[in-house]
Amino acid sequence: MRSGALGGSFWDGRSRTGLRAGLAVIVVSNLVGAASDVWQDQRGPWSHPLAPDWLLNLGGSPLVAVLLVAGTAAMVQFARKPGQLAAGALPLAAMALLVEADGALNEGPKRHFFAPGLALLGWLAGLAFARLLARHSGRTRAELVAWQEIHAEMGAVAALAGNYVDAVASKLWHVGPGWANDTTLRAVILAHHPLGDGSLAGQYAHTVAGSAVASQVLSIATLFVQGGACLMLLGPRWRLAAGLAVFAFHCNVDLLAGIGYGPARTLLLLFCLPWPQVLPRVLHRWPRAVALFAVAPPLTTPVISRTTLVRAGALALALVGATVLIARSLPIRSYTALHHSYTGDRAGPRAQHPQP
Amino acid sequence: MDLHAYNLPSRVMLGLLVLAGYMALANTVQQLYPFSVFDMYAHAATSASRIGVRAASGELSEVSAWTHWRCDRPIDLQGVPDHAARSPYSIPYRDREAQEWLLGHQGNGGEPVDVVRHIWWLQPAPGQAEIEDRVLLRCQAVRR
Repeated sequence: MRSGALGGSFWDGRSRTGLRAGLAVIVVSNLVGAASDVWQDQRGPWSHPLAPDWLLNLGGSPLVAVLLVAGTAAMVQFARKPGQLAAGALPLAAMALLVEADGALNEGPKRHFFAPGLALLGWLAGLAFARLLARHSGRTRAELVAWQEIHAEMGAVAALAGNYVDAVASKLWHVGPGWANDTTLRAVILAHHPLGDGSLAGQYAHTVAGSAVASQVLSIATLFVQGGACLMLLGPRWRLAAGLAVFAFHCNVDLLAGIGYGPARTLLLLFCLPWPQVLPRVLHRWPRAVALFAVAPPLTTPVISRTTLVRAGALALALVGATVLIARSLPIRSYTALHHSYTGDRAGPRAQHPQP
Repeated sequence: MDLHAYNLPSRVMLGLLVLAGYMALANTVQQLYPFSVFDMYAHAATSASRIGVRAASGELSEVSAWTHWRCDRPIDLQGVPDHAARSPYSIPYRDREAQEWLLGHQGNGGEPVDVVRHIWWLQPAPGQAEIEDRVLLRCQAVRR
């Protein structure tokens, strides 16, 4: 399978151990961050009024340490061996509990924790999908593992792309193309950037906030860059270009508004740059590090019949559809709608955050 | 039959399924880890505001630039009534950070300062803004 082919990757023909290890490091560092936040959190006037007691009681609870240790141990196992569905699902569940508890104790979930969980979920979805496709292919275990990992990588990249496409879809849904007007980005910058910041970043932020033209140009670029994230699915060169564009977007937002999204930026670098082509040359003095990018045995694509493909696709769609229906039947949205409620530009007294 | 015969590798199919599945689920639950519609900045805004400190000299700064706070009434920025006709765009967690700083750095006071909600009512091109300060608390504090 050529790396330049539709849907190809810089990692094609190489072991994906380095990629898996990188993802594990990012997830564990997020797990530590989320656990640290929840450990310090206490129920207060900012807490979610509808949150159940068991979730709010996680704040400062020893259970936080248990979730951290269990999640980290499982992630180590995930990194060591390919094809680990259960070992990946456990840290995802631990992160979900911690991030939702943190969100319930404060004003809502911290979105910078989402990208690693999303990439991990996409990775696991890719593993499951490849297993389903190649169940009766008659290939060796080594071939199947490599087959699963190329799909896991694609699942992670697609999930990452999905969050940017969803961000631009939200803007277009709520406001339309007019979101890229000459005031909205200025408002976001001014509401976030520290007052009295005389640094270069501060001067840059105030220049953009004071210029209708500059903020409108950057707003239009935001729509294109976030929407263009779906190009990451097309192949390695597209992934590099679209990934770097989104990375640059994040850096600019960080300068303007101090919204960092470090984990998302790290994931973009991990999944979009040609590490297997670059790092073995840089790390040639350390054979164990180079082994992370070892040339993999030639992969022959399992023969997948048209029927198998259609069935797997239909099953995946049915699974998503059933999940959507179940989720819609639960009162999830009445709960999540109280997170990060929009507080501005309304007539009348300032909206008060809900009290418990 | 090999998938390449269709020029549609199975991983591209997977990619599209994950992308569409993610968007469908995120739009169903709105915000539930790890799904989110990321709509925090999806609304149009024509104003912005920050809680800050207006010193007697007129200088505007962050509340974290000051310490040893002593105020004319209990520090509860949420509880301060705001009867103005229009409410500006604000970021709740930034407001909470300001309040937590005030609560965590109380003391005997120093020079007189006002804790204000500094508001920019944004005008279209060429990028001007009408500025308004709403006084939330009258305090004394020491510059760090």
